[in-house]
Amino acid sequence: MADNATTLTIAIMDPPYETARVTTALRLIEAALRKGINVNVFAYEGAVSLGFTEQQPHANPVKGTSVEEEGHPTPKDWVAALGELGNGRDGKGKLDWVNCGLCVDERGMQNQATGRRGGPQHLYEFLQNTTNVLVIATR
Amino acid sequence: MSQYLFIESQDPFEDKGAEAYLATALELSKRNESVTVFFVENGAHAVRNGAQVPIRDALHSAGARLKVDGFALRERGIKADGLAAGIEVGGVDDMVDLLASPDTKAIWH
Repeated sequence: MADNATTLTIAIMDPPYETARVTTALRLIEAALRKGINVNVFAYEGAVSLGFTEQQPHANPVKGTSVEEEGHPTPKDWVAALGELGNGRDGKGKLDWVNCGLCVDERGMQNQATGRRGGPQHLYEFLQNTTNVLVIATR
Repeated sequence: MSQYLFIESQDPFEDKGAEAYLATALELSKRNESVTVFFVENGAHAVRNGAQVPIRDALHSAGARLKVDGFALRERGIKADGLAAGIEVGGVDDMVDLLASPDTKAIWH
């Protein structure tokens, strides 16, 4: 388990359903929290869609399965689960997830599964108080 | 002592930027810097034994540590016993351990 002063900052801008970068980012966040490492996330541009609560799972008409049978997970559920995992209890790290407010407003994504609204000043604050930074850039 | 973590997510056969990115890692390795290249996502295509990726082999020769995400291997049906020389199988836990060090400089491609 990491020293509880260890904090990682991850910046991500990818939307859901398009790239493997989202999966890798969420896996990294989960692994760090489970190790007791605090994680700051700055989600901007399309990444503010990751936690949008109005995402709906769908049936699969090709296989003829219902919504329930398909059990299709949505990114908002993964983000919510990370929010719960990152409550800082039981030796886990704390998650501070900030969604870029301008990006949220542009996309009408105000309803979020976890995190808070912020802006570049919050990213700056993250950078002043972090052990390391990973910017997951798009291509 | 600084160490460098290069996270390569792109398939070198699809994205020529991968070679340029890894060339930076190679130059650092040649200067005896501590370098880890972590292949994730489609970057895992670079580690198959038989895949012609000269920069990967040059990194190995120069002493860089080469790791691949086992999750990416499984997703792509790449067997862990069919990897090029010098490739270690790891996971996001290993990446987090490197990132948790303030001496690590991490760069994503």
